[in-house]
Amino acid sequence: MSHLFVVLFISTLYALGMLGGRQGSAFFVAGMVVNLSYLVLRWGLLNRLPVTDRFDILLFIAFVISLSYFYLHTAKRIEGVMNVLPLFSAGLSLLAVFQERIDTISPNMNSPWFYLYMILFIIGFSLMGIGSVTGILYLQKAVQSLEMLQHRFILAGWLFFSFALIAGSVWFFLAYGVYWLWTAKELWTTIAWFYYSFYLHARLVNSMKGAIASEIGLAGFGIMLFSYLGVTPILGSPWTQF
Amino acid sequence: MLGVLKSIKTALYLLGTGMVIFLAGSVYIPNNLDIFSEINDYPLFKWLFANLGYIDKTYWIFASIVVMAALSLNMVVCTVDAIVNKLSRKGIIQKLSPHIVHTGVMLVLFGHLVSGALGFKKDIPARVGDTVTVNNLEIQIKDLNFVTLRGEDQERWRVSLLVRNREGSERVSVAEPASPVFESRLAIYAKSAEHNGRILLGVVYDPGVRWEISGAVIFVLGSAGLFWSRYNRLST
Repeated sequence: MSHLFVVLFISTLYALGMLGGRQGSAFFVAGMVVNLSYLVLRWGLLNRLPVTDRFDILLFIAFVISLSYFYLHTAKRIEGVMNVLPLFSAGLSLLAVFQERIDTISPNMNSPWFYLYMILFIIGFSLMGIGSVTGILYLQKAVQSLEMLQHRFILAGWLFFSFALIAGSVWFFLAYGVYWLWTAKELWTTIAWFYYSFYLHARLVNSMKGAIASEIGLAGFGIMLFSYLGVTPILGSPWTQF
Repeated sequence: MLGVLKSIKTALYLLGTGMVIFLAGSVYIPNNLDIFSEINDYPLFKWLFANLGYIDKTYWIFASIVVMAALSLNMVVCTVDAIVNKLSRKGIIQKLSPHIVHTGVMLVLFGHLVSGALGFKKDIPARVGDTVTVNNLEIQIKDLNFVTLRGEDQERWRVSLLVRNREGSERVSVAEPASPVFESRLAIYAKSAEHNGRILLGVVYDPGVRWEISGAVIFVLGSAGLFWSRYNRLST
């Protein structure tokens, strides 16, 4: 129960970032501090990186996405960042409330390759989230550099997502003797990977440059979210704790 | 014809078709578990041909193989065209990196094909003291121990195996969760174990793994090139 309270608190602090100005920034940074403190606390309690259940993973992603505040808002001084970024940080941390918190792992998960897989996945997912933030800003303001930023974040996110799939395949082969499973979940992971490959190539076609490419990239984050959180309950894929 | 094959629009159509096929598969699998329950226990092609009677439920897998093959062809033509016609010393890393990434993806797809066609999986129930023979490999189960590690939700089993290969050389290795024993291109897993000495061994021969790993390494190298060239372009 206390965990849910902390998550709601983090989410609220992030959401208050939308107040804008110094006040909004103060709330947002406070949200990051509490989020980070919570993750460090979990690390200490579990005696391992808190990347083994969806509850912690979503909080991790929310924190990594929030870090882009220092780049987009503080360094680049992009106007309107605090109207969009808090939505992602608050939304993702709020999603953790609906996930089961699991303090143990199966012996098969206790492998360096599993941790590498999850860390790369979190970085990839977060970069795609940051790409979506800049994509929304581009669609609002039509400033070309924002579309370029969206592309760069998504490209980096896609590469990290690919590295995660490689590390995940190695782990799965060591744990179960296969590196790929025919399940709805794996197929949706492939769909997400294909979708972002589609975006990266579509951007090279003249008729798809600009707003269309940006919208395609933005929709990709919805597919990532669905493949991570929606496939198991909606389509009925085997349950996993991560 | 060559123009269509190397076109980026062809790649987009194929990626789109691939997504639709996988979407169909993600609906078919959970709704037909009676058919798909064993798909992961056998090499793909063996399973596919054993289930030809259910082609109305498995057709999308055949379709996905065709699309992957077409996508690979598209990548090959695109890469060859780039190397032959567009490559120059200036910005070579920037121009070559996407094609190195493509090559990595193609090798991974090829590895998948090899695994599906030539792979071999077998589960062997045994007990401590038993000796089993698989592919000219003698596996003797010497010992079984259990340990409890902090944070793990069940006891971890450690199975001590004496493995003798066809040349007669032998070694003792320990198989435990997420840590199989590798010998003579076979991976030997201790899939489960009980305190009464019963153990489920799993033996896997997967010749596609070498291609997969090669593809992954090349993909990472190509990605590094992409990062490097983008960073350079940003900083200049």
